Amino acid sequence: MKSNEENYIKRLKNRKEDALEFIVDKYLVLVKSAVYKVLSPLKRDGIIEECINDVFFSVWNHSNKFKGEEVDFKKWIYKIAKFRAIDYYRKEIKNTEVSLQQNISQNNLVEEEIIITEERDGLIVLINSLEPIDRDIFIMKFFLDVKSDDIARKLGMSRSSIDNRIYRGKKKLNKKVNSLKLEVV
Amino acid sequence: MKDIYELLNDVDIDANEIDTMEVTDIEKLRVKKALRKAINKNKSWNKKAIIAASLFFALIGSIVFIGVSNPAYATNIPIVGDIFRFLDNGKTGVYDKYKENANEINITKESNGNTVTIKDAIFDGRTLSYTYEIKSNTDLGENPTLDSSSIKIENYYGGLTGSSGTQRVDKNTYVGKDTYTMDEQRKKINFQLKIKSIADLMGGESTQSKQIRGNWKFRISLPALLSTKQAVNKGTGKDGIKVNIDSISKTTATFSINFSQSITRKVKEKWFDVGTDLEIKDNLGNVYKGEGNGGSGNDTTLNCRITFGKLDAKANQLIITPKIHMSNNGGGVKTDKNGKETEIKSIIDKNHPEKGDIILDNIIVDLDK
Repeated sequence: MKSNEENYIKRLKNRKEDALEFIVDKYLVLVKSAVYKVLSPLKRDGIIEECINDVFFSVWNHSNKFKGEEVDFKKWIYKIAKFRAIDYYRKEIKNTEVSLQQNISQNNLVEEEIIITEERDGLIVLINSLEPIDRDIFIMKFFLDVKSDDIARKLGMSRSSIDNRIYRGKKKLNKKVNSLKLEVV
Repeated sequence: MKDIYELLNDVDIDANEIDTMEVTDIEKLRVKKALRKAINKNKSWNKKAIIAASLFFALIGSIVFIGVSNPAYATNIPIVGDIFRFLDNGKTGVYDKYKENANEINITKESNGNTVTIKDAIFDGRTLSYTYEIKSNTDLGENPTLDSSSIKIENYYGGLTGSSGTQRVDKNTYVGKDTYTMDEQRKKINFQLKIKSIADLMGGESTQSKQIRGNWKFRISLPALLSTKQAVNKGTGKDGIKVNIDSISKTTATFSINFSQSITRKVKEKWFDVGTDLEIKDNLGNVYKGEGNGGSGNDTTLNCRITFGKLDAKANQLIITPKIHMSNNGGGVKTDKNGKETEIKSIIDKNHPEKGDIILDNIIVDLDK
């Protein structure tokens, strides 16, 4: 049996390699676009390709965590692509501190407030302890780099209440684990 | 706890935010090629390491471990918080609740400049698992194992089945987990580990890795997790193969299904290897993936146990689908009570096909509350 439009998600979850190839054929256009938007300002050869491979590899390794229908799957892949690309971006600017200022000002995709953390897993533990609404805001803000205005529109809240929640959430997170390296750039 | 991939499910985004970009066939091929390479690299880490401490029975069942999915991730976490989950890598979920139920041990022993730390240990009444961290300046390869004769369980003389998996997490650090299953139920366990050597046994001669010797000794006592056992005794069968669900035991971290597989002489004649996998769902739609704890028995009847993750407390029914895999691949060594070994080999010809599968009818079990 081969993967087709009907069965590829199921086959992916069953770890059939042809399903992954099917997904590359179908979604590379989307993953490439998402990764390109974040990483192209770095002007570094190879990193976009590396990140794209990594996105699909993450999809493969974490396929069992996906829940929902095909339309959700498309969004899920897109979110993974964006979050992985931002992750790459942050690591890169950390490694090349000299050009940090320059990059920040050039890349208007990344907002002024970013949490750089070596302990992403630690951050996830903390995010899990937040209320669902704050959890979504934090993921959007810090993993998907959605602007506060857009989050506000999405959740039907005002910009200031989003900022407030982020402020309070950050305080809570900071209080919980001081050792977690939450740096604000 | 949800990880980022699960959390991303919950966050909604606008579909019109998603753009596309032109892609050539060559680009697609390059991505596929890179992925194939990455996946196969992981597969080579899946090597089984089966430990036979004192084998009175032919050993069946094995556990494989999938390697680190993401090399960047691995280098960023020199210390792995939850080794149980790390090594399972989202594959089965059997170990999701282990860490929180485990006894923290954290004892480090040093010998010849190499340290071994036993991190956590858990005992569910029959299966013992412990995790460890090895630090060594010697390159031990990707999957070094503790030497297999190191475990001794106090007052236990029966058979042990088990598995071991270790994963390098950075240049000098390795994390691992060993699992052993006894054939009797106990309320507590006292065991001793006397590790004399650590080496990557699966790497073969071609690897650059070296063996390190030393003397790392641990004595550990653990109470068993509280467990409840429900007798089931329901069976299903087809074409000379029968599977009987004997009982289900539940703990706060896992549940295990004890079952037996019996085959007729005719089936035994035709197939070298007949094994049963259980596909488990509950009435709420949860699907559980398991890890075999091995089995024991004779040519036609095998008593086996498979352990799954934590059972959803709201579930009141389990739907068990036995899947039988038959094959004429492989070979092995059979050991009798006196330690005499006989080699057994498989053949493939017109009466002995290479492999086959049978799915048996569901067995539905109403769970005791």
